[in-house]
Amino acid sequence: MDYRKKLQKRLYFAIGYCILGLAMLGTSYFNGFTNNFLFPFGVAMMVCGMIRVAKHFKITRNQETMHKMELAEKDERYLMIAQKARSWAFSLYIMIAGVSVITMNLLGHSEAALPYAWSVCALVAIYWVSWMILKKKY
Amino acid sequence: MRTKIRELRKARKLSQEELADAVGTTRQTITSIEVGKYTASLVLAYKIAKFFDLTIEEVFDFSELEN
Repeated sequence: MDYRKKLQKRLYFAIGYCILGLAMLGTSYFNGFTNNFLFPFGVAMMVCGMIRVAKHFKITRNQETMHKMELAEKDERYLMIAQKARSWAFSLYIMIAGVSVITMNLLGHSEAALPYAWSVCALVAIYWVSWMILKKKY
Repeated sequence: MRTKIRELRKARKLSQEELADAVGTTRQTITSIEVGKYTASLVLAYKIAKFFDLTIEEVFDFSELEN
């Protein structure tokens, strides 16, 4: 996909975030700020959207910046680093959650350990399914 | 992996930035390849070799793999 089109698509998403954030803030306002979810999430979405919109204009205003950003996004070393970071995050989460489940069970908090145990199981299952799909693809 | 990129680049009086721009990558990637911290993919190795009008074997040292 052409990089300019990709940026345009991202801008639409950023505007979408702003609109969604504004809608959440509006709903929160009309409910008298009684909902603990709507206001903070609305603010977060608005801020995220606005930052992305500002970033879009910063990138597209300068041809050289846009070229540098494109190179950085397509750079094979950066892609490899991102992939490795995801892989490390996955492995670390499995290890930390596994140790937490064992510790919580030993301390007698088996109910609290259950969501962590399920999340580890779900991740392993997703990994296995992804591996099978990717094995067929490549 | 050892490469001759630095020597070839200096012989042509090119900066890392200029080479990176020519082969469609970043300056940091060229630095990493030059110091041997990162091994270029086949596509990037081909682009670099082609840029210097050489073959991949002439730019990249594969002797480690042969031993």
